[in-house]
Amino acid sequence: MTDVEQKKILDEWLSLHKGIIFKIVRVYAFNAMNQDDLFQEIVIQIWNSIPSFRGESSVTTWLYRISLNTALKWAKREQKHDHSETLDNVQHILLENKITTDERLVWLYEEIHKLDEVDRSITLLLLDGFSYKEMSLILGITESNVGVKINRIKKQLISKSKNYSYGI
Amino acid sequence: MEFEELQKIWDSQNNQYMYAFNQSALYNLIESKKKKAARITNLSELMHILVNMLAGVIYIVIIATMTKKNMFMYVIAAWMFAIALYVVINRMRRIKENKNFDISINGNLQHAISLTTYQANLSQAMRWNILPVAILVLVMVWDSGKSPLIIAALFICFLVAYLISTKDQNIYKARKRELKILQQKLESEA
Repeated sequence: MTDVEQKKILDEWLSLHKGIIFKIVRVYAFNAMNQDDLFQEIVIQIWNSIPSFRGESSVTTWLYRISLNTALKWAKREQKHDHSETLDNVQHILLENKITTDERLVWLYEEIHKLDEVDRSITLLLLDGFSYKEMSLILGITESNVGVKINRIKKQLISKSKNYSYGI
Repeated sequence: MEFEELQKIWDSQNNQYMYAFNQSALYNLIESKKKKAARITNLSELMHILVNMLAGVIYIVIIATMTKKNMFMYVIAAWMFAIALYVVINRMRRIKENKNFDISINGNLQHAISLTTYQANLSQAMRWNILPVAILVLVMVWDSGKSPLIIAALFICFLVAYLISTKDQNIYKARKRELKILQQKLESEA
């Protein structure tokens, strides 16, 4: 595959599915600098993965798999990592859009932040409507294991939502 | 709230993007990372192979030019070539094993664990390699009747090299431990 073909595919994927990456970035990275860093890392991994994409799964599933895997490892590394780069050295690529966000969505993101790295992945897949089978394929664990984790996460989120008072 | 309601809140963000990105800067970054990755991937292995082979060749040249041959120099030269061969074989095995992991997140984690284990083992082998090389060199220097000060200085050099290489191995061990924890979290039935 030539670089031009690879770039064309990346352009298309980013244009159609960038929302997936944005959600993952927001769930795993907590400030603008980290979000920028994780976004760059995910896009680089997606770029590297393009020659291996055989179309056996949907593009969305593929992108989720690559992006979540990158985010999980990034989050583990980031727990210890102290940014040695100064802000002047970093080329910022990701910019936050000034949009009015639903207050409940902000709360939901905050609750997902509180989960551990693996549960965050499962919650994202769950909220984006993936089936147990798809989640099992993306994560590489059994469907029954996915089911157990989802039941626990659902209960946890529903229970937290009972204590959340919207608009008060 | 019921879960369906949470899902509706989640879906509300699909109509507007929370971020924008600078596309040309992104491609510049990919280009520079691509070049860097290609250089870094094999550097550690190639360095070990080249350094050991070069050291082996240097010993052979020294032996060839010496009037009084020293048995320890033959052993060191052979040892250096053996280490280079060991790294070559391990490198070939690593490249072959790269293809044996599935593309799921768990498969990817297994791959990362396997790679980190390989790096830790290689680092450990190179650390232990310092011991026989140090013994052979020190015995050879002592046998050639050099001053005890030179022997002591060489001993300190080998000791420092050994201690520094311990740090390198600890980094790989810590990385492997983190990846294992992540994998356990993913596989746990809770």
